[in-house]
Amino acid sequence: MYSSIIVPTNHRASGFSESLTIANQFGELARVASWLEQMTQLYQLAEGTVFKLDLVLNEALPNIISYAYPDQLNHDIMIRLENRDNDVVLEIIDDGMAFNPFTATPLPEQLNLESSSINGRGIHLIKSFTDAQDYQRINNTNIMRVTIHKSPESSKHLEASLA
Amino acid sequence: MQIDSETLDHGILKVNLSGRLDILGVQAIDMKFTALTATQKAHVLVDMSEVSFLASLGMRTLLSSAKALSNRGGHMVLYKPQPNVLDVLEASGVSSLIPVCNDIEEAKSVLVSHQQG
Repeated sequence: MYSSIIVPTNHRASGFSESLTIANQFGELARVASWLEQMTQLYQLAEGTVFKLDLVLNEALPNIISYAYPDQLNHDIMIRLENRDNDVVLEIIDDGMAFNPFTATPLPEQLNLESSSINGRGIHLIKSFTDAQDYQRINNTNIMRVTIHKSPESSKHLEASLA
Repeated sequence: MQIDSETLDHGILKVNLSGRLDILGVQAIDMKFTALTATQKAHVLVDMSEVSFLASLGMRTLLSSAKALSNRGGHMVLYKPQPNVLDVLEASGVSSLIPVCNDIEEAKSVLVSHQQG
């Protein structure tokens, strides 16, 4: 069986010109990498911007594939990229269990190697490397949206790391 | 993702990583990296200069081995990460758990000081 995402019509934002739909399988991440290369060329994105998009995709998609689906069915995951004058907006849409990554428990302070956690850094990195984050649950789909400023001087993640 | 190793003076083990430490990269090197670094009392210099991408799964590999090394009385230093990779190490707090050095002599001296300590 196969579960396709029905994107809520009231959510369709104007300006989303590029999207990719993948299956909930780790093998699909190679397609995501190729798609990101195409977007890099199409939109002439700077290296720093591409690195942040790459990081968000590599943190969010494995989490969705691993944890979002209680069944053994195939599911679609949709990725959309909007290119604006000063920023890019990335959306990841899945029909897995409701999960708002931005209300998840924050990363505890890392005091020393022995007591530190080896897990749990993915969501923290998504927040650190993006300039705005949003989550919606619409018609049984999770919609995660992040905005990344194109300015190479953007250093929010550095500020966050020093906070 | 590529991995190889060499022995430097003072018995320091230099592990050279090259490529992307994403989920596929971790799958490619995790077993060998762990075997090299986490199964002995070693002083390990991980050369990150050819690592172009690092996600949290990659940091899990680094932290897991650094912890195992520490439990055996060994030590790990990350050497010369690229700027974007360094940003990830800093934002995630990993750079405060595993020392990061941009100078090879400084990296070696950190490890030697732990050998003597």
